[in-house]
Amino acid sequence: MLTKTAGMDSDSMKKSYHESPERIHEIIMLRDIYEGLLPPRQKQVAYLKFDEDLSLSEIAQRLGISRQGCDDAVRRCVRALYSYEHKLGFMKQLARIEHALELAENMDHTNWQDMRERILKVLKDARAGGETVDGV
Amino acid sequence: MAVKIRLKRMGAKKRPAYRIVVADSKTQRDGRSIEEIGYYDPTTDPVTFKVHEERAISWLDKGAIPTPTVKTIFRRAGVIEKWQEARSSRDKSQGNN
Repeated sequence: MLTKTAGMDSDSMKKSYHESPERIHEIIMLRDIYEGLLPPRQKQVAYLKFDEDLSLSEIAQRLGISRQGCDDAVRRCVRALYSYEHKLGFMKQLARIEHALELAENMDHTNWQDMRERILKVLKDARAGGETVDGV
Repeated sequence: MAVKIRLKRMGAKKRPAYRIVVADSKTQRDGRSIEEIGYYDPTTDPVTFKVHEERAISWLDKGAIPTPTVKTIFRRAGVIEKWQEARSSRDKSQGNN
């Protein structure tokens, strides 16, 4: 039987959140960063879905809405989060900061020159906001 | 009372870490759980997780339902496979008697 996905753009939307733990982790990181921009209902549904790890029917039951309504809200939320990241890129910046911190933590008297160069490169990339330093 | 095996979020904002817990499906995420049977930390590279196999298999036997995320973790930890093997060998031995 064919299922229609009217309103959804492609396979990427069909698989928007029923995926690996890594994918869920990514969505949760985005949610932690952009939470304040989400409308209340999406925020609530995202919390129950991704933080509480509830199923759609459990969420529907808890909020007194339909299962389909939950599914739509979760999909809209995931789409919004990726769109915020695409426009603002805070998660990417956070990853760069984490990387620089990790390098700084691993710096010692034997490798400090190499580490210094690498940290500076990461920070310059972060300042350039996605563009490579040479490419600006 | 439906019993589920789900993730319980710990850690901090932007630094999530989880425990794998057995809980009644009606309790809150960080609320009371029946038992903790492992952990999952997605912030490390590679991802780290630990599952108490014996307890997980025992709960699956009792009919506890893992959420899709937990199921994936179990599958990676080889728990689902062991559970299915144990079940089929038990069925066989029961069939022989």
